[in-house]
Amino acid sequence: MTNKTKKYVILATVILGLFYAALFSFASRGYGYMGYYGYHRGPSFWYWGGPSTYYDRNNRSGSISGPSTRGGGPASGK
Amino acid sequence: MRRPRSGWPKYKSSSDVDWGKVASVFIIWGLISILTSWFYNGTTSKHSEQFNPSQITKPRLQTNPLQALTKPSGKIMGPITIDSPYTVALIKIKTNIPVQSWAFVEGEVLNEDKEYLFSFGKELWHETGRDSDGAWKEENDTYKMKVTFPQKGKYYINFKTESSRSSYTIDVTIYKKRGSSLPHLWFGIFALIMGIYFNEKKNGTISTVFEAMSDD
Repeated sequence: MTNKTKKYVILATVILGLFYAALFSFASRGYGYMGYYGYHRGPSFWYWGGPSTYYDRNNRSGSISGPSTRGGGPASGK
Repeated sequence: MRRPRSGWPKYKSSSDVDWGKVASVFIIWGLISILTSWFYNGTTSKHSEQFNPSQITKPRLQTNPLQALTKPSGKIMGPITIDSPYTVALIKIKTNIPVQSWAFVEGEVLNEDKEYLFSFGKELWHETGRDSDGAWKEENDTYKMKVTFPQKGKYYINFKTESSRSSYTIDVTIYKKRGSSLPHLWFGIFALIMGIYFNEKKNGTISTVFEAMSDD
């Protein structure tokens, strides 16, 4: 292994190791999901595939014909 | 100008670096990171309930606004006890919707005082048919989502549905997780991609495989 390779390998190990260690703080605080940023923001860009989330109460609940899904979800309103 | 005895200093180009060794570092960190994300995805406890749409209180037109607030519609699940702040939970909804029907299943997350925090919902369906290619079946009867509860305490989920039929059941399971698997998962994917790129730079493994495949 040349000196330059050794330097690159050490540098990559240290930088990746620091990033890896820093991520524990985010992981233990539940980063990325609904609720992490409070209840007025949706999940992070890095999390997808789940159902739609709404931070306003369903404004159709209690209406005569019930919570229609027209318009893409409960928060869409009639 | 006097020339140094040992000759001009040689500046090595980056081609002196063994990118295969650097690739190994990235691949090892990538795998460690993905294993860590798998660890955080582990379940620590589980809570399940089953109900059917007939158990869900339908919304009624209330003449008294105070009564409308105190008698919310839906089926309340819980309490779900969150012992420590920033607990991650996976909420899984599974239904057995009959053929040729659909349902919109919505959950409202409420705090200890049953105050609204946020809601989630998705349309589920089960359809079958027959066309020129023969019989077909399309089914989407399950969904799941992860939620972070930033404060400890008791929480409830109020379920509401609208569906074309009511003869089905809804299974709700809440799995408490060790934490968020997202940071280490994405970092692991990034490190693996970089590792594959550096390995390709050195060994050209993937291009060799493609060349061998095209020769065949």
